Amino acid sequence: MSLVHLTINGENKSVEVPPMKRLLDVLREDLHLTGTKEGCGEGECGACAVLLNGELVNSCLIPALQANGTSLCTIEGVSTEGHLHPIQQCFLEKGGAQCGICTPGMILATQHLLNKYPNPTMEQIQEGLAGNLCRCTGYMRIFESVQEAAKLQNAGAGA
Amino acid sequence: MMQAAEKAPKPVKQLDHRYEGISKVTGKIKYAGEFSEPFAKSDLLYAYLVQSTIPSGDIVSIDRAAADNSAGVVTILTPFNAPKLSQAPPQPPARRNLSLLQDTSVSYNGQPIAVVVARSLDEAKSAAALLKVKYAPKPAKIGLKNRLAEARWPKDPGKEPAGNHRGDAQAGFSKATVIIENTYITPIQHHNPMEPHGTIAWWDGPKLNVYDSTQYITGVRQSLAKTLNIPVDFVHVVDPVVGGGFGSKGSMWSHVPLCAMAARITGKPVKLILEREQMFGPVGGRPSTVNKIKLGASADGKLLAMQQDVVMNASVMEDFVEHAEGPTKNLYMSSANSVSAKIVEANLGVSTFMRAPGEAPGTAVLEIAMDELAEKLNMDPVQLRLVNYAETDPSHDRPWTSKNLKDCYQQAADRFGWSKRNATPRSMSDGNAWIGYGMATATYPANRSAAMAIVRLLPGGRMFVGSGTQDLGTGTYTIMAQQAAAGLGIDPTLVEVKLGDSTLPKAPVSGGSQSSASVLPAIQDATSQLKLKLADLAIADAASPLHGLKTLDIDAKDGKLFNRNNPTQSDTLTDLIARNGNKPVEATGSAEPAESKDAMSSQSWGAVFAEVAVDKDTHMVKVRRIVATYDIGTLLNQKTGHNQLMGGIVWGISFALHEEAHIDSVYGRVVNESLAEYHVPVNADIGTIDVSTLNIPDLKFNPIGSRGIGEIGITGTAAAVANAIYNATGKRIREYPITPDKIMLA
Amino acid sequence: MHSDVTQFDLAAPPSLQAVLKQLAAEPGKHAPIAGGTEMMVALGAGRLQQRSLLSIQHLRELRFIRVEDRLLHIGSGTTFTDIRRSAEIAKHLPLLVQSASWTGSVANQNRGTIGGNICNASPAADTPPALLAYGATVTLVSASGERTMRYVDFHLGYKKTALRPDELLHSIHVPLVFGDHRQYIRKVGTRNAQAISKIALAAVAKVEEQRLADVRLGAASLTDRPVRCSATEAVLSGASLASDALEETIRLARAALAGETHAIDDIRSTARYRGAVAGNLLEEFLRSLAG
Repeated sequence: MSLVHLTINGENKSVEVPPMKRLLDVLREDLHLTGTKEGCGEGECGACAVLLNGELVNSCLIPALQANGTSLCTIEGVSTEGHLHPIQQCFLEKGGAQCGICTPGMILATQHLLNKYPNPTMEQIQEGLAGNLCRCTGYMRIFESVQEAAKLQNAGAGA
Repeated sequence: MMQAAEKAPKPVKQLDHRYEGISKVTGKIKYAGEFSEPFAKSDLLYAYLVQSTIPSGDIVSIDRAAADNSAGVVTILTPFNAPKLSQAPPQPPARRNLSLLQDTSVSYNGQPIAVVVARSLDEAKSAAALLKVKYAPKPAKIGLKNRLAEARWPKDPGKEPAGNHRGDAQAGFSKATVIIENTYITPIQHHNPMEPHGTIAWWDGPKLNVYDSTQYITGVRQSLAKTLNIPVDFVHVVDPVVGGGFGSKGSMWSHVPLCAMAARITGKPVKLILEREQMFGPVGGRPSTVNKIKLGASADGKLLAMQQDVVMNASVMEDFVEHAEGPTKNLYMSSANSVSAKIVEANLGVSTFMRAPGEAPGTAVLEIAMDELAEKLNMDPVQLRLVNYAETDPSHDRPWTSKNLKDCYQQAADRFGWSKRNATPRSMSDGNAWIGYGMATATYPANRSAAMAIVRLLPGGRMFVGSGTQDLGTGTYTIMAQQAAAGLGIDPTLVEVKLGDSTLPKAPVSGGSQSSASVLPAIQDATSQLKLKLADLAIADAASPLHGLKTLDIDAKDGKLFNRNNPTQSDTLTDLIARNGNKPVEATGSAEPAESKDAMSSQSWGAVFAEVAVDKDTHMVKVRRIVATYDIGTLLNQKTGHNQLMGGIVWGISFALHEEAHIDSVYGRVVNESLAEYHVPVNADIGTIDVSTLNIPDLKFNPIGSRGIGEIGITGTAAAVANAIYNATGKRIREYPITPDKIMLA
Repeated sequence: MHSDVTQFDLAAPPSLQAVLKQLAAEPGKHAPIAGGTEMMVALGAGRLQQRSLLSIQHLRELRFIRVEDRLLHIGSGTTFTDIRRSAEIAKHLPLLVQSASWTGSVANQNRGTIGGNICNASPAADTPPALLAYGATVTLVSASGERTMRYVDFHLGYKKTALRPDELLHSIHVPLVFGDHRQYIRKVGTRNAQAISKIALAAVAKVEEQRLADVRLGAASLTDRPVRCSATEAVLSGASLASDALEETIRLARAALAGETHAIDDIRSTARYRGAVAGNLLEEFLRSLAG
């Protein structure tokens, strides 16, 4: 067993877990943060995506020990003080969420994308979200959600 | 069109966004496998399903010594110690042939043969790896294309007969000037909703509770009761939200009763979640179909005869018929049809309903044949379909409740720019790619079943609506809120919705595109009853401005009851309920298809147009555009409805280009049982999708005027893409998926 | 079948030397794990042989990109994202940037390393064709020292490499001699993104007075390992791109490529398709040089 220290959504947490335990399972089982989903368990679908030190990663492919000392953002940490983050607001309004399993990963991938490219082209959106599978929406509404979120964030930044 | 509109009820006020949307974008909503109450979480045990590694034979022994001694193991269920059950014969959709450790036979590779229960999932998996299973293998039946001679009639074909003739097809073919005759093949596919199947079960004395990821809580409840031989009333099934299903969650599969058995034996709550690879066999799949299609037409394009003979694989455990011949019976007006559907047994998991069962593969194959016929006739493919337009249902010789498919062809063709198409293959290119246009017809039956609902007026003028239906991401919550609100004329944001709980009034399986068409009329009935009760309450209430009026004079609007003869005379719902001591007023409602339903046919329609680019060097296909227009009755919610249709279209693209389960020819196992190798489209595979609906109510079908939309999107799309690939390359690929390899080697 | 993570140990030694010391002390007992994008999949699938893993993901010593002595040096712990963000690599090795961009998704590029991509030794891996075409060398380190070898000699067979159990891949070196070369790379995947390659071809060549010089070709998914197509290179060396000779050059090159590769049938593609498309890609490259 290894003692793993994490900063999750701004809070310091310590868990004692097998060092090879998947970060995904640490989040879902040990920390009860079930917003991070498992879709495939092999880094193909992006349902388990979280931000680790600001970088998008698939938490099913990260051994707990490798997350020691890192700062994580999960879907539970995206909205603040009961207010939806603009990305969440746009996924809600534009119909970017359907069954909801891919949604947390999509939103974190979008956050990562918009941090890199505040005004993403369609190609950049497609590439940024290429690792996130959705079996329901047909993707169009997700692209629209991302475009709208970029607009909203830029308007907010300019104001 | 105008006639229908005049009879239509007032348009229902739509919610701006998905009812449960906020809880989804914040990750707060709980799916079946994520609950940790009401039981003590520290009590929760984890079950892991052990699968067979041979396709056919018997289990001779299971050496479990090492596994039993493995850390954390609580119990191991095998065919040698599992409690004996009285399994009833299959009764789809709810009840299927299950593998519940009742005997030692193995019927497919991947069949559940043991369940390991431990304190953690890791410990359960670890112990499972220590089980030593000894088999006595038997010869396995594997393959379809090489075994067509073994085809036999199905024992129970389902609601449609397996063989059907109308008119004299042979006479039609002999008169035909143009004949198309080819074999078309569709592969085995697996649903792969993003949320894996999963169950948590716990017993409360003799009573069983389950959280289960299902499209049919009532079906799971009844099937569990039947399987475990306990009263239905003792089973409680909860599933507030489903992470997609597409048919695989329409039936109860083996892991559900196995989880319940493990919970009974251990006396603890047990969680059993399938891994992705366990979803390629134990929870069903679409069978592969081999279709011999023959079309005969006169020189002016009139179909004189259509014939389709389908052979598909079915599990040795249970017959299931994918009615791929359906569209040949009713999509076009032909002088004669002849169809058959036969099965070849295989050592595979049980086949089942998958998004648009029948029509998805059926349109995928027939609509290629129609494209070939149009080409041979030198006729525009749309024109060929108009020439053979079925104004009435040829399969039952009766009228449609509503059909506006001609408008779909017209509208979609215009939006697409079909007139710019050059019918000659390889005549359009862009850079290093051939460009092709193709089209096909979409269709899916409109179904509805009996359903019930409960509504309540709550303090503050709010409402509650409940029904034992399901939301798979389809928007059921949203349209239930809208329908309940419309009944009393209140704002839909004031409605609380409950579904996915078997204590609620019964509703049908969320499959066959029938949930909205079945549940909303029940809600409509319930709100009518509620309105009468509220009117009576007001009439009897001396403090109400409506005191003493007649019930029939009272209607509801904008949160008020009012006198129809003097609308200014009104009582707000808030005041009314407050004077009732804030006691909620409740009513139930139900609805079922009218007895006259057999006098007419109800079906949804659409026209799908596709543009593809095919790379000249690699033959990689990119679907640049899909334009589709649907006739699905009233569109209930613009956002959730379009999502459903677009999602279906992406399934159609996936059908055309990607999805296929490869079966090992020796071991009978699905070789590509992962999302890395079983490809579904990523967003880069999708260009633009333009969806529109005619929005013409079908009031002869149900009082809401709306037909279901969960499945029609996938239909037609695959063939539209296939036909576009032909137009681009001149290569006619008749076996799905259409991979670059097949295009190159054709 | 699956693995039980409680049965696996993982340590994160503080330095490269500490890792090498442990590898040397018990050769074959420990497996290094960097970004985990392959090893964790292997763990889940029950394919991981060793029960003890040593994390090298945190070792800054293995994560660098620098130019020195007319060579570009890339540490084995460099992630695909690092490669895509590097101005040096973009300037000198565009084919490597391109291949990094189509290695999995952004999330996997943020973790996956070039060292892992090479040492995993999949015949379908994305970065090897470019490195082969660039004539890279690799440095392997162990507690007893280091050795440098031609990358083309690193792959010995299907999933087999020259790496000893006590060794780690330290770094990759590419000579900066491609300023005047024409460069080409293309991957044909099983879908339009997030795909495993059915075939990929990387190529560099100089064109002098309509004749080819210094042709180097690297390919994926055409044999049991990432492969440099030396026989085809030999045929093309000095070959003419002049309009009256181009078709013959292409014909000979396609024949040579077909002769030295042995594509296989699998669920992702067929040998015939792979062979034909490899020829098409080579032809596309040659025509682009002539055009």
